Amino acid sequence: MPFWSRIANVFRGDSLSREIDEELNTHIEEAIGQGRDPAEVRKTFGSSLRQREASRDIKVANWLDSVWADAVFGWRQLVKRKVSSTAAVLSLALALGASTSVFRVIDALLLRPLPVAAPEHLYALIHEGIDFDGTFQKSDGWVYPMFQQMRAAIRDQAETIAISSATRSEIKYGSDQDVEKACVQYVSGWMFGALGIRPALGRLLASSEDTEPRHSPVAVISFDYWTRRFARDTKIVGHSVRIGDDLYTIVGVAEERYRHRAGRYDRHFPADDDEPECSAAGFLLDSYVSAAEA
Amino acid sequence: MRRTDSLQGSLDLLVLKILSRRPGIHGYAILAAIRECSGDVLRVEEGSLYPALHRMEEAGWIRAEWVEKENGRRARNYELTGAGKKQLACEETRWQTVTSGVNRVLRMA
Repeated sequence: MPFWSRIANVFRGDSLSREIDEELNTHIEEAIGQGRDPAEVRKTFGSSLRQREASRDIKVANWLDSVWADAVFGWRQLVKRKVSSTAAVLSLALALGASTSVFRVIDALLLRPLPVAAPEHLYALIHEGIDFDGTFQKSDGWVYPMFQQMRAAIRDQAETIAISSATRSEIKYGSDQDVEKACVQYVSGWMFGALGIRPALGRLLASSEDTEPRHSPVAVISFDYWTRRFARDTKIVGHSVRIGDDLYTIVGVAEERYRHRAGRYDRHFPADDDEPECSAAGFLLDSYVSAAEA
Repeated sequence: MRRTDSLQGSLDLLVLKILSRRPGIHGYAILAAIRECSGDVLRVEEGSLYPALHRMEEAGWIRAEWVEKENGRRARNYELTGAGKKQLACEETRWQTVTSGVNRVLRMA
């Protein structure tokens, strides 16, 4: 196989050169043995180096030979200058790591669409204005009565949903006296429906659940929390959980692909004006409008 | 005729032909055989023989083998391969075509 032998010869360059030299020397000795003038024989061969190179070029794959020579040269340079090589390798590694982590952030924030139905129709609402201090303010927080008024005003054109910021709260399960901590987030009743999120277990919140006064408040837990705290126990639906003074019934688990934009949430509750925290004037909600038609 | 490679490809033809008659000889013996058979008319230059041999070896027409000589030196002996025999037939036909063409021109002119 000429092709493979030419490639193999690249890596046995020294012994190849020796063999070529040996063959030529044998020839020269033979010629001298036959009584020819040594100087004349050598002259007919010309430069032995050029002779060797001519044969070598035939026997090795030249492109690979020069690549190999470059690689050997590069390796020697690296070994010779250990400090600068180490610095170069380290800075390359740091740069790679930094670029990768920046890309992960950009990918999560900008490139990957939100894990909701029709993310291109989702708008965040912010309000701008002059503060009591006289400073210009921009905010995406709304008091709940304001949210209710906005929802009523654009009822036929768009869905309005509200999501509170997640807070770590103390909770208790049933008669268990141990107090646990979990992230709790209040959302408007139609939040799951408008974002196209389906339940992994049980049901999610209904649109009426935050508009009509109700007697038994309900909660939805996230898939992660369900896995972490309950080992995906299907009997969790119907359990009650105490948050502050109120007793909630867990009605379902949200599907796995949904993560809140902050990355985590443990529990969702219908935002309700009967709910003490929500009716408090200072309670702020992030509002989103999901337009049905752009 | 001082230079045998003045006609392109004739060196290959000569070497292949010599090796088909006398398999297993080294480079110097090939040169000697060419000179002897041609009645001392054709003298192949040493400098062009070995690149030609190595090229034909890479092409797979001939194969080489190191052989120990009486004086302890090693010699590289060459012999024809199957592909080399086919190549020899090709080269011979080509040579006949070329020379008959040249002869015809000489007669016509």
